Amino acid sequence: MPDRRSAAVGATTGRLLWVDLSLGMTELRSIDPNLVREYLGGRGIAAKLLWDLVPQGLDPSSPENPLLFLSGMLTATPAPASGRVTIACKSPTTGLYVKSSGGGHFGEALKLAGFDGIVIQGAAGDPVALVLRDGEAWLEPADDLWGLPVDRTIERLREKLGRPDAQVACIGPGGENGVGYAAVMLSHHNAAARAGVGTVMGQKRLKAIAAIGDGSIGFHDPARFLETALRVRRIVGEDPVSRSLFVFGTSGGIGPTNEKHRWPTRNFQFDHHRHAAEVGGENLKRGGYLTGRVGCSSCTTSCHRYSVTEADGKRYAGGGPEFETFGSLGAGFDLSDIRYVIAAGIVCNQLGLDTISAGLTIQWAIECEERGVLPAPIRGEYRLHWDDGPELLRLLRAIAYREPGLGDLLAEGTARASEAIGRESWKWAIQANGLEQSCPETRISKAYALAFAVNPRGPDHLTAEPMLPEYTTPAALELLDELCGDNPSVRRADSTEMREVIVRYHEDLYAALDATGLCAFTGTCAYTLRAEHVAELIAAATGWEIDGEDVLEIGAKILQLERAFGVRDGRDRAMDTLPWRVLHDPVRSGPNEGMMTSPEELDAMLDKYYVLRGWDVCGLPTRAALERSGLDDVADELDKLGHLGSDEARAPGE
Amino acid sequence: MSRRVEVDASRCTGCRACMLTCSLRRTGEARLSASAIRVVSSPDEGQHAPIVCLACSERPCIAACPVGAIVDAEETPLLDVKRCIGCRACVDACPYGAIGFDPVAGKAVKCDLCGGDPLCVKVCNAATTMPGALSVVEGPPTEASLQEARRRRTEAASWRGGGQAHAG
Repeated sequence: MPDRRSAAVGATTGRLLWVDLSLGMTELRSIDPNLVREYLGGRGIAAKLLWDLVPQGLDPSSPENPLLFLSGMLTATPAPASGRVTIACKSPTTGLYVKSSGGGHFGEALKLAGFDGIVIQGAAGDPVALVLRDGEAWLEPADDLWGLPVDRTIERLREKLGRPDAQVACIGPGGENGVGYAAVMLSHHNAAARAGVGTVMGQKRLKAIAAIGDGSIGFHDPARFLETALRVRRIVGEDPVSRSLFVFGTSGGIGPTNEKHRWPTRNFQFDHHRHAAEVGGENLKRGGYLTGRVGCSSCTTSCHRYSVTEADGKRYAGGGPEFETFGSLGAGFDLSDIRYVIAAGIVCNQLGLDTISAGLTIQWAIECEERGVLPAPIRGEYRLHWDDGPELLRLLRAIAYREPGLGDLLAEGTARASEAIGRESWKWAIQANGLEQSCPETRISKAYALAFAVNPRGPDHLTAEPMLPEYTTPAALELLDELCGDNPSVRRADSTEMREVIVRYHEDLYAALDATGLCAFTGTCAYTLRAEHVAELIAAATGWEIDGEDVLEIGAKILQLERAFGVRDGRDRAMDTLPWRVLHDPVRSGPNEGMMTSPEELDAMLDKYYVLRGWDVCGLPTRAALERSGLDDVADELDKLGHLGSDEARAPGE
Repeated sequence: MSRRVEVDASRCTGCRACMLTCSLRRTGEARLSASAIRVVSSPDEGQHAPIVCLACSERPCIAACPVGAIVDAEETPLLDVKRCIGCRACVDACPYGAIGFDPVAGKAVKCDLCGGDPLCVKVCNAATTMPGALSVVEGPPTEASLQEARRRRTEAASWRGGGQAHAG
């Protein structure tokens, strides 16, 4: 086994695998240690590579679109919940930057197989699988895997390799058939699902990547790293939110969210789910469906559930369902029978579909049917109405296999499907920039509204989870005080006050966590974990001098670079937006009746946010802001292309 | 009196923090095969079998070692890695599959309780008010514990296609 640690920064392998699928070749390259210092790993290095590799205007469906897998800098170590892996490319769904992060043990195995990450370029002629072990990599024919669901793919690849412990990242039929929201599955149930990363993997005819983690990771100061990791694990683990996530899982939050009338049902037409007591996290346990908890690599929390049920005459067993799946395939569908959300989540995982986009696309279709705008020949023999569990499962299969008619239409997602149908159906397509919005009620929570509008990949909760204003744990209250001063009005969900400060904190820390491989639940849910703890872990692993402020600055730099990626392709203020319904269609009943986030409200928050980020009124980063993050070359390129923010056009206030 | 790491497999989530921690303490590296505790997961990662030395009363590993590298001690038998010749006789002798083999070092790997305060227990469910899958107990294992350990070994082997119940 080659010694791969001689020049590597602590906790990393120092090596990237470059794969050209068109040529069928693999090549090892070392990573410049300065790049690790600047971007850490994971999402940071992914953003940098994507900026460098993708030319302006690249068609996301072209083989030139690189698909990146980057393990976190601290992945495969005892750092708390450190197993996250980032998958990135130019999104075929949005035409924007996308990073999609996943858990499980794939990131750990990738690193212990000898690689910090993989850069995949080109496209194979026939289906292939990539195998990694002991610092070596090779491609294998995968015709026999093509067409298989995720569980069979993993099983057969492990059999072929004679390694039942191989960790497999793969696509299901959804990715093979070009569904617009296909997931990359990192195990039977760990998904990196948003904005079409699995679609791109399918376009490359790369069915699977198997990583065999026989190798090792070294540290600058092993004893200090161990001591620090144990201490920080305890800090995260003692947070009441971590404990609640362990006991109840993400879906434990459904009851309180529904109580507050912020649990969207029937395609965001209503905000209270009458069957929430049945179709929610508590009933997973009460009803005997929950058979275990599943931990991602080195997790302190183990929020994943493992559930078993029978539905429609068939047995379903697998990971989940998570909060968002309960939203998009449960409450959103006005489901009354929990068994079908368990089954639907498992069907999505096996077919490799994003549960959020799949659920909202089906909800959109049902509203189309209710409004009488869906042509009968397209609907075919499908029954499109709420709370029809067996039909939900049929629809998911129709989408994954792109059955002619309805399956084919819904496989495109709500933005393209509503373009095809017309008749104002875009008004109830819960999407912005082509990405279906996740469940948080952005008509009520203004922090979420702002975070979703400026999210580099489109409207969802996975670049910032700004729950801070509403949390009452000691750590959350202390942090809110630090950020906003002693100001009780910021604690209202519907306040627009200081949302820019709250969102920026979450974004910067989240990006740094994604770069180190730490789960967002360590620092943006359990607010006990602070940037300085991340810095202490990095310092012990590498010997660098680094503090919490540096960590947040790296996070900010990643955000600026991701923004620049979008801006280079024309992203501007007009695209910092939310689904039409959120901006124009107020809540119809209940205690929040009449509420929405008006375009004026969003504009006011954007103005303040842009100032804080150093962007001009059009949402374009200025040279000063980019140079402050050490992105001088990015400023030069945006300038050359005429997309650099103008200093004169800066919003008043700075 | 025996002292050992007791396992409640039903609480294990398969995160393997114990393995990464154990290997880091023992070797200064994170390497799964260097860990003295092993967690084997079912193919769909919904069930998990932590496997670690039970400090049983019979201690067949001691007699099996041809070079006397495993010496008896009050709490748990201790492996002297310097004397180990890597013959795997102890690995084969343990009815619970609890002695591992490190292919890099070419030596057996056996739990030494970290000298008294096992780190695997500390990292198992760091949420300190939550009971984890691992705990330290005094006294020899009960018959139920031994039976459960044999069951875990068989189960892990079936998940691994009948092969060695080793996660590394």
